Amino acid sequence: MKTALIKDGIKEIKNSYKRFISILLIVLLGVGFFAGLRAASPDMKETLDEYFDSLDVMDIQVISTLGLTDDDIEAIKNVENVSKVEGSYQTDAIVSAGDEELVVKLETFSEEINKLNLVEGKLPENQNECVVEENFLLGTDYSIGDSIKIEVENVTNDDGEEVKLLKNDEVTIVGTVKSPLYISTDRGSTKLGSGMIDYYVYIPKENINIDMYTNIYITVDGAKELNTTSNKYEDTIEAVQDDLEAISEERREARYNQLYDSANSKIQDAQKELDDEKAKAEKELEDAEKEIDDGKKEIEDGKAEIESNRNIAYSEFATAEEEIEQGKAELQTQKENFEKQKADAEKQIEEYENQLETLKQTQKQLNTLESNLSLAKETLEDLNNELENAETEEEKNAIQDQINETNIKVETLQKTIEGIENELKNQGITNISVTIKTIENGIKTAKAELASGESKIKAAEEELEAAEEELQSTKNSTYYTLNEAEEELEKAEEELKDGEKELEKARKEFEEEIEKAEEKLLNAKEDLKELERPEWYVLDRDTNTGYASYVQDTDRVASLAQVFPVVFFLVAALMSLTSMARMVEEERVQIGTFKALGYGKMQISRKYIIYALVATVVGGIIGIFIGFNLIPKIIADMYAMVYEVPEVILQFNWDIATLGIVAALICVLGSTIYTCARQLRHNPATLMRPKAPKPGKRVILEKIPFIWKRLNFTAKVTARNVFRYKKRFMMTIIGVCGCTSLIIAGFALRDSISRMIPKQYGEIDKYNIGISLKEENYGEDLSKIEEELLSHEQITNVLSVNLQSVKIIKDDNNQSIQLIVPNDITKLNEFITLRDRKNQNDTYTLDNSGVVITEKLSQLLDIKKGDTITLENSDGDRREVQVTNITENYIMHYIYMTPELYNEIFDTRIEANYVYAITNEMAEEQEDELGKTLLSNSDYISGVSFTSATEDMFATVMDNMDTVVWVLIIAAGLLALVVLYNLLNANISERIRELATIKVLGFYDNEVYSYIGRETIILTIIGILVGLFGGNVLTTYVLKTCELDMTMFDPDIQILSYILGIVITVVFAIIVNVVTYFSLKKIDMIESLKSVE
Amino acid sequence: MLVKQLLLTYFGGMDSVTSGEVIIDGKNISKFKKKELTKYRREDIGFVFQFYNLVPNLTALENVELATQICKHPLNPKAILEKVGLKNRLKNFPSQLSGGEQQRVAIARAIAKNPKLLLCDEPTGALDYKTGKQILQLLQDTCRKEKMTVVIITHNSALTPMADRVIHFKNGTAFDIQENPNPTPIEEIEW
Repeated sequence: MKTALIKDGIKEIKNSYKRFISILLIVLLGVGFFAGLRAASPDMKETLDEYFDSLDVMDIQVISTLGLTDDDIEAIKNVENVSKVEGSYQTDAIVSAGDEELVVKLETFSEEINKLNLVEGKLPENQNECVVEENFLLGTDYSIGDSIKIEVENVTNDDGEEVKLLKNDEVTIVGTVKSPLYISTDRGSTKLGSGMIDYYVYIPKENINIDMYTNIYITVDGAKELNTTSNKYEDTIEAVQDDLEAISEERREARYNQLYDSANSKIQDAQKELDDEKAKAEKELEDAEKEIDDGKKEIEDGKAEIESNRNIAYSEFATAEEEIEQGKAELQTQKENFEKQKADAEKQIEEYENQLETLKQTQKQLNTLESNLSLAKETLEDLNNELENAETEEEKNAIQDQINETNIKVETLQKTIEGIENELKNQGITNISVTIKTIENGIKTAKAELASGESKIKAAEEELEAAEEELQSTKNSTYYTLNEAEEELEKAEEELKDGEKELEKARKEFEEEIEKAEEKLLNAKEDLKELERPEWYVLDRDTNTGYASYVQDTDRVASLAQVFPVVFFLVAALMSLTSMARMVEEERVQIGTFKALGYGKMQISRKYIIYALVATVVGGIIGIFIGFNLIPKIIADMYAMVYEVPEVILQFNWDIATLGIVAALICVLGSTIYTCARQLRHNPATLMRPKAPKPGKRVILEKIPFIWKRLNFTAKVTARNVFRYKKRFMMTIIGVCGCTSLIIAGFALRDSISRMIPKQYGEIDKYNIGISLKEENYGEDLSKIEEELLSHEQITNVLSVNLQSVKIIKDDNNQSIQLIVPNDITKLNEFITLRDRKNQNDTYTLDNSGVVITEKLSQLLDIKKGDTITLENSDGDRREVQVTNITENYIMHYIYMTPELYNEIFDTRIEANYVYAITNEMAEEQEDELGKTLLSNSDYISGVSFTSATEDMFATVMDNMDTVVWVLIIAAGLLALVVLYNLLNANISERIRELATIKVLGFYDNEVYSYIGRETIILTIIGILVGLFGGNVLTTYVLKTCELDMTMFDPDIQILSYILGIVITVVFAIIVNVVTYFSLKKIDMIESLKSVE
Repeated sequence: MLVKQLLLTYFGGMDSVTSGEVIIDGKNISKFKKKELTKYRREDIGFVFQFYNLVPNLTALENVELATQICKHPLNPKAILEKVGLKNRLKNFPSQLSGGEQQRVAIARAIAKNPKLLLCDEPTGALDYKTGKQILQLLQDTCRKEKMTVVIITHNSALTPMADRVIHFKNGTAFDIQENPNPTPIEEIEW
């Protein structure tokens, strides 16, 4: 009996292979889609897990706010279940690549944990070498063997000294790598440059100059064996994390003490030094002050002395002057007396002189008399002599005669003389000569007396004059001396003042210096006081951006897998319900017979159950294999553009396979058992009688005579039929709707992604080049820079902006946002369009009342127009600002603000650090050329990026999107075909009698077709209409699920996608209808004559 | 295949004979192409099925209209249904009608086409005695009043007395043709 049933079953399949295949196909589709989509996420996770395991990616990393030491590593090594521990130093750096400046993540590498996936070349062997990420060489002109210069900020070592971080900042690229820590294209943000990290660079630990780590990487025993996304893994890691937290207290304390002591002793030293210096300087100042005071005193003394001297001089001079005056007066009286005396004396002298004159004449007479006498005497003597001597008397007589004569003469003479002398004697004069002499002497004396008096007066006069002169000169010289002394004093005073000033300055300087030193010390002390116990962050892999977003994205895929297959399963259930119901009904009599013969319900049902089971299992298994191999690969390939992970590992996932098949079995077998059970409820007699045809029913439309009356006859018939078979109605609508929705979603997805780039880089960002400047403080030179840029013939317009990474403080949002502050707001719309996405004519202009934020950002953070947000700029200052508008944007998050507003709220002066430029149409080579020219000709440009580069990157995305669209279209088409074919098949076989009858009635083939086809068409149209709506919902869901945080897909579905959805569905419907037409033609009219079974 | 079915097939223009000729109203329909056959069925033939073959989803009136809408000179469906005594059943679905009523609808459907030939396949086969008689009466009335050729194909030889002409078939061939100058009124026929 058993074999008979099986044989019957096989025969059944052969006879109704169409039905069998359609059940098989729908199960295949349902299970395939389900399994494939479901498997994609675990496959991708498995791929990541394998990749991470192969590179020994850390399970836990410890980050400390105060750095980590070898002691920490030792301590961590002792924690239970810790497998490997490795310290690493990580920082942001600038690499000068030719004329370009790249912002890189610099990290030390290890061959134990977080191994690098070497792509080309070798790993560094000494401190002069480095490896870079693969894209670094693609993005720059560098190749392996070239050396790069790394600029890093100096760091403070444990002794508190500022030192260079790198021993060697000029390193040679020896290879390219992929780091498992950076699987996403997002490298994080930084304070350097324009705020975005371009690449990562790995250097050996030996090149780090300080004994400190920023991160400690840890792997955990037994974690490798577990899938990184599994709960068990999480539990394992959490246990170790807890242990690490437990030891962290001690380690933190130790680190704190180490740093505290080091800083404290430094402070002590500094304090001492300061005190010494202070004392010394103070003493010096004091000395100087004393000196100045002494000087001052000396000057005071000097001044007093001068004053007293001057006084003495004044009084002395006064006395002297008085004396001189007295002298002068005396002299005057003397002069007057003398003049009187002089007059008397001169009178007397005149008398004397007269006397003297008389006397002198007398004397002269005398003298002449006397001389004559003498002469006469002499002659007498001579004559006497001669007489004596005379020999002769003659001669003696003669001589005697002469002697007589002469005696007479002498006598006369003597008589005269005697007369005169008597006369004189009468006059009192005895001796004339004496008298003369006396008179002469008297005159002389008087004259001498007069002269002496005169000369005395003159002398006195002269003396007075001399005294006066002397006094004057003394006065002069004294005053001069005094003045000079005074001047000198004044000079000294001035000098002293200068000295004082200098001293003041020195004191000020000293005070300032001391203050500075004290402040420094105070700061150091304060710092020390503020030196908090370091915080340890014991982080797992979830905090790695690349890892977390990859896992998130796979979860998105998983959530996609929740929705898509439902359509298929629903259709599969409905289809098997109708198919199996028909099958069971067709064999109603047979079932009745079996039942009458005494077969049990199970035995009778078994055939149908096996039939359904075989179709389901075969379809399911094929579906699983196709699904497992095709869909995860397509999805993983799509994500491979954003993530650096190896080729996806396709695994056979028993859970999913079982779940898929079980779900299919529940749908198909469930509906089979349901129909069987329903049939078998009846007793054999009922079963063997033909089933009462389903009664006709009025449809809703009939209740609206207004419409119903207007319908022509065929329309009425169609309307009746459409509403008559509810299951079929539902199935068709769901199937067709599913088909249309899938196609719309496929095209819309493709369309949305393809429009994203032209919209972003064509309509919204209208600039072609972004030029980053080396510094921010160009000030006035900025216009020169702009002019210089404009001098390139390809560049037609430029706009300087300040570009910086900012944060919005809301929840624990971690979105990296760029703030754009254009220098010239009026020009902004020539470079960036700010507009409402839904009403594109509604463009915004920036004003000082608030900021404009991009749409995706507003969605992610649930910010609405008019809300107030807290903005943190790159300096870490937080300010509140109002959102005035939300603008259309697809890639990355931006906030736009006017410079005035920025300056106002952040209380600073913002400067441009970036220039947007619009160019003429250029070929790629021309762009390269221009880029190079810009970089090499200018000292202020650190980077040039063309938007066309980004556009190219997305061209690849589009190719992959095409695959997705095709998969969706094929799946959708199959769905539509299977459903519609099944529907028509059911329609025909169930209504074969009716169709034969109308054929007999004389309906032409096309009339017969339209009699039944119209229903299909109507249902298809309804299905399509529902599908348009469903497509919209599905697209929105898929877009929301697929899009990354950083991007926004244009949610507007283009009419074309709808049209394509309709057209392609219609094409599938037509295919099915053509098939129907021919099978209708084949219907034998004899069927109408057969008795109702 | 039963002769009955063969007759219906070939008379009714459902198929062409492989050999021989079928001449109806002077036309050799055995030479007809498929389309001509359809036209023939459409315009010349009215068909009454043993199991009525009404469209369950259509009301009595609509079932008649189903046929009339494709004809050149149809009769008024409502009038016909009135004639067959279903004035009050116009808007009923087949499932709401008794077997006799259904057959009446079927006959009305056939007559409404205003065919030259009314082919009836065992019209009483699924009906009880009383209803059968009523249907036969209806067919006879139609024949007489509407001047319509009515061919009843039946295994029930009891019906032969009511016919004007009876053709007997056996083993696929007509072995006897008999004319009934005075057909027995239907009320007198018993089976």
